[in-house]
Amino acid sequence: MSELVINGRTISFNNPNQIINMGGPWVGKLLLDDKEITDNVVLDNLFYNEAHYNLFFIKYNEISKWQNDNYFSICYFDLKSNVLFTYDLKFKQVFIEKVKDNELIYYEAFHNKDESKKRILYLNELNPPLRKVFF
Amino acid sequence: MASYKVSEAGNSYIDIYNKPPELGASATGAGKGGGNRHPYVAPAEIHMPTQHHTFGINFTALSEGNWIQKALYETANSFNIPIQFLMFRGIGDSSMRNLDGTSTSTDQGVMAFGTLPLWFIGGGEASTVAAKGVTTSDGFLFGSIGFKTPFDLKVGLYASENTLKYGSFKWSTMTPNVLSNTNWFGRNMLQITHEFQPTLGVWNSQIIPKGTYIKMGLVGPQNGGGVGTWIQFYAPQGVKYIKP
Repeated sequence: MSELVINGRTISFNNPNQIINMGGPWVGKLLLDDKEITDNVVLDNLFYNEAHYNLFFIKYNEISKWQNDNYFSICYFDLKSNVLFTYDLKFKQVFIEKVKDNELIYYEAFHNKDESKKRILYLNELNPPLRKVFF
Repeated sequence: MASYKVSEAGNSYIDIYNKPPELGASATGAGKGGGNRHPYVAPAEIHMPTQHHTFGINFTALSEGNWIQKALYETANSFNIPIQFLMFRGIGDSSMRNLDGTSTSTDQGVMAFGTLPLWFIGGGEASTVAAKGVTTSDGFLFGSIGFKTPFDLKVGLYASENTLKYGSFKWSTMTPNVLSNTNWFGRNMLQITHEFQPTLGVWNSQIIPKGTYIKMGLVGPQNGGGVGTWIQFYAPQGVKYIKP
């Protein structure tokens, strides 16, 4: 698993796991300097927003034994305040391609190979976050 | 002293059974040609049951194996019956046959047709509707049964990039190569949708070691997935992936 070093702080994953079914995405624990930020984070789909010192990623929320109840959400971790934010949007499939200013370009799939699945999320138009989970 | 008179017919009957059988005598031969023809089929004429193979799998042996093998057989057979129905074969006239060569009983037919709507009637819409509530979080249709494998289990899977990268797998199946070599099988029967993988990974065989806890059941439908289902295994703790 690749590591990301931001201002001397190391972002990494451990405990990689496949989810959903054969060919499904992989998730793991997201760590900051070996301390867990949160679990079930989609591997290697991290984006650092330098302007806001935020780290964007996708989290799988397994809340039920039935797949239809479970969902993915877009989150970011504020590296200044060490606070985790979760947008109140639910996705069945999502892959972040880019985070630029207030635009988050994503796909309703687990990859960015199908342009018909491409979407843009304007972060400033969303209801302000969201839920806070303190780290 | 009392004496017994035995009839001529009675003596003949006793003689037939007391004398050694003639080689080549048939069951229907007894009594017809007279003499000492034995009413039973001579050992030389007893045939072992024909072993019925489909896609290289001996379904006769599978149907007579342990409970796991029987479960595999029943699952495969439940797919075979609707196909025969479409070939205008029927249960009543015994023209419909199971994969092990025996005649399909009414009960087996009913059970098989119970699964029919789930795999090819109704098209993608039915699959999408079904996906809304019947797939478990670990990817099974309705549910699964869990057990420790009593032997090394040879399975197959489409290995994704991450499977190769992290060296483990959780989901696998059993199927003949003639099916696994087609995209159709992965997309429909295993529900690996385009949204999951734009191109299917490489199919290869792996071993789930004896004693591994696994779950077994049918593949649950996915949103946007094709129509179909197949038997699958799920190892919650993961199994080491050995590069072929």
